[in-house]
Amino acid sequence: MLFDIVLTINDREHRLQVSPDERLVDVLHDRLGLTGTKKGCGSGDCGACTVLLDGSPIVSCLQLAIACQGKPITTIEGLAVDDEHLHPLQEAFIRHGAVQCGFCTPGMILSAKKLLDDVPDPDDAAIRSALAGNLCRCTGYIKIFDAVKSAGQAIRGGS
Amino acid sequence: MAAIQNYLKPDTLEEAAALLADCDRAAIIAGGTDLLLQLQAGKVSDCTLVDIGGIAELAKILLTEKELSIGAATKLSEVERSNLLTGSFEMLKTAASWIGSPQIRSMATIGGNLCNASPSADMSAPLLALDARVELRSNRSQRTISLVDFFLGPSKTVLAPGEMLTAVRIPHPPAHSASTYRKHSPRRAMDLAIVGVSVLMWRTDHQLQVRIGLSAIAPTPIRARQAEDYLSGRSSLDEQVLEGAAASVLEEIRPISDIRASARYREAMAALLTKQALAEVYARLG
Repeated sequence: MLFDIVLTINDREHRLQVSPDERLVDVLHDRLGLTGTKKGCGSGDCGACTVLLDGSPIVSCLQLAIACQGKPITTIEGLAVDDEHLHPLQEAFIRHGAVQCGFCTPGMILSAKKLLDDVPDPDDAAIRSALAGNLCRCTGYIKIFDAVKSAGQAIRGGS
Repeated sequence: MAAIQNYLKPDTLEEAAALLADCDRAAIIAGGTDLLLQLQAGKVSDCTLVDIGGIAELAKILLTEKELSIGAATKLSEVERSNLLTGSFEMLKTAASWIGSPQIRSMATIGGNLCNASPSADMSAPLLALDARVELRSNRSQRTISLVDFFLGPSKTVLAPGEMLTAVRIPHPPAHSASTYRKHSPRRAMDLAIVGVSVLMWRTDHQLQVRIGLSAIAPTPIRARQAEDYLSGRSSLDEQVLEGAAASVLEEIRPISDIRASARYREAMAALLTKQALAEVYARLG
């Protein structure tokens, strides 16, 4: 059975038909072409498919698309201010070399966005626990933590 | 393979109960973090999903004079952040904060953690120590039972077909009580407990009263009644008494060996964590 649903993704409404067992990650990546959302483990362990649902990070591989109606979804594509200006977190990840293969980066940035939305000046422990559900096999995390700290400063208006 | 035949999202509890009564192969979904894995593994198939995530009254934490009530569909992230959970309730926040990752906690619910009936369910040990009851509801009936009677075995509960868990109801702990939850796992995030121990302690007429909840050491989470009896009524705790309590716990648990730990290691850790938890709570009791 197919269902007509409306998903609000990055402030845009998408009308589509889904079967009830379609996961959000597959709808985003394969059907809507929002390929920034990566499918890593497919079982909720790695965090590569993290998106924000109603402002909170979720793993979109364990989320049915049909259950997301009426709640805003933010993917990595929705973060940049405009075509010219990236989000401070994106800027900081580039500046600090926090991106290597890039597969974990969208999820890392979205988890970090929620952290900075809640706590503009997080300490190391808060950054670690906010990113505990995002695995990176390249960088060793140090540059990622540096990038999050520096983005926090940029958002707060520091240098 | 169509694992899910139909998807229904009721707005009210009554509607949900009616749908569950009507449907032969209904599966309740709230956060979905366990259910989707079961669907993926082919353990659940050909079902109608009833999504209770849109029922507002199921997602509330209420503190009344009588008790604390946590709606079954309350997200673990809400439990973790709630400022209603103070004093001896606070260990519920700790337990919630140690589950999975931030992503999992903003999806998974307290009811799901209990209904999946994992022997290692993190919310179970502290809720058992707090003497929680669970409210079960179907189209025809409503009953409230002790959480200790809710679990039957791994992935098995007393929930009848058509019945759902609607709330966890926790009486106020005795005045001047102290509590703790300790979880032993190799990693701090994204890991299940090898052993979970929770203790609630208070004094009645200078006599100690204790409740102990344990997880991951038997087919279901349990209360360590024998150790509780051994401890209750004493005026103080010393090293020898702690050893005695640990010995009682070892008689009550039935751990298995699995990929996470051997039964012997679980026994050693259950004894150690029980002693640590008792000593910590006793010190805080003053």
